[in-house]
Amino acid sequence: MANLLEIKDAQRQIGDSFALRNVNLAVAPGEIVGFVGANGAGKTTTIRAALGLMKLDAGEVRLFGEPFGPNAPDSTQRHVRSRIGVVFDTCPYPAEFTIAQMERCLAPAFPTWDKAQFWRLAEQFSLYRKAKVKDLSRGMGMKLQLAVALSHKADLLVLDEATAGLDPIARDDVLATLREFATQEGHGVLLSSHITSDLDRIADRVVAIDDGRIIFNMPREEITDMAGVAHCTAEQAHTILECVEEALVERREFSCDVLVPNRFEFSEAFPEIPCDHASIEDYLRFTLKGITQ
Amino acid sequence: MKAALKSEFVILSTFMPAFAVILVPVCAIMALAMGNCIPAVACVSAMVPMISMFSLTSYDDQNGWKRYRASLPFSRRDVIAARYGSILLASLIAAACATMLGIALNAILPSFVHEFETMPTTEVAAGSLFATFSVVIMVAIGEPFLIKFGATKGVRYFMCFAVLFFCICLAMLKQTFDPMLLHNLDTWADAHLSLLFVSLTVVSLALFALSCAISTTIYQRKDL
Repeated sequence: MANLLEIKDAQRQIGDSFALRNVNLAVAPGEIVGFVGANGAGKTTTIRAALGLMKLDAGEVRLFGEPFGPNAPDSTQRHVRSRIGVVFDTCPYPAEFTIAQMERCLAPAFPTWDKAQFWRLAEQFSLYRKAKVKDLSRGMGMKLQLAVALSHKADLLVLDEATAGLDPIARDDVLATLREFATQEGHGVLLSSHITSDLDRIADRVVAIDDGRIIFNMPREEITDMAGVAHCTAEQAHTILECVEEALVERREFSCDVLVPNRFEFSEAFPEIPCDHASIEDYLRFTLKGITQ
Repeated sequence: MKAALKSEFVILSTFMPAFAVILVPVCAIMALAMGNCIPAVACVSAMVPMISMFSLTSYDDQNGWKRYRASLPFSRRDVIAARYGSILLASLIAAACATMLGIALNAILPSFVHEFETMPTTEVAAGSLFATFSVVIMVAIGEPFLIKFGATKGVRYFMCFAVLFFCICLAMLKQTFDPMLLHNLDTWADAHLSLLFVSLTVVSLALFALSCAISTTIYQRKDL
């Protein structure tokens, strides 16, 4: 089965700087792809390009195997977008609208709109019919977007920093919903976030971007289940860097932390050096700031 | 396109009832003051196209609605066609409602105001449509500014353009000023009212369609 989303060698210049430089990203069916990066790294720009909201200077975007972009044929834009559920970081609906009015406004847009499903989700998320969008908290606004995204039989969910600002309980609910969505056949999720702990929990693959460039793209297990962070002296760090390929060191005032790709092999080779499991945040930090000598 | 039009029209229909509540007494008071319902009906009909245009544009800039709407299953052409279609539809509905209001005022007000001039229904309807299509021309000129620059800058540039256009017309008129010009125009218009009305309708709809094409081209090139 074709990838749900494929971005190949995407390039885009905005002003004097490159917003995207040879970005490659794919979401396969059944996959939750975590898209991580600092503020201003290019996550939202990549998502805008993927949704055909922005033109690329070079490269291509394919959605459900079809070439896509702002200049795609009208019929392609309609039927491709009907299969995508989008959740942005802020609730985009007009502030004066009630939830019932928003449902009436959005329902005609989707040929596969399921009104019963929407109100079921609204009840589950405690969204009341007469509540105005402007009175919703950030978390409730996000849940409203999610209810819309899950009510038109979408195959791909694209969430742009959707969990930022949510309380832990709301975040748990959302992550559980996304996990359940992705387990259904032919579904996938692209979840962009700078909150890496969310991705630790549900991502199947992690793609990191910095300054418009993809800096790593790997299965989440390789980071959280295999990689490790060794805590050692400078002298030990020097030895580790000579012996372990792809190790990265972060030097502190009185000690060093070394990212190793396989903490089990490392522990066998260096049993005297403590080595913790690595998180996505650690991996990102080391990739951006770590050095190899 | 039908889906986009339905969606856009739902947005319009959420605030139009509130305007109706304001416009009905405005129309009645104007009719009372002028002793004739046609100026009142024309005034109310003229307001709706502009209100619709500016209100829909103001929603675009709220909370990122413009970007979210672009991610819905509409092509960019659909979005613009729906914008123009909903403004025109709302204007025609408003013109019909204003005409019915004028007919009602014609029936009610003579009982209270002796000098009130009862006008034929066809003239009330013509007055309403004349005003509507005149303002539709202004919408046709203004909408591309709003699509290109957004609500805030678009309004400023549109107003500057309108004032500049007005000043240029005045300057040109001053060069070719004929004291009898207005009188001759008035006489001609009285004699050819139907032709004038049909011409205005055709010109306004043609300009509206051209404006829609221009806005579509602008919108298709925008990053959202």
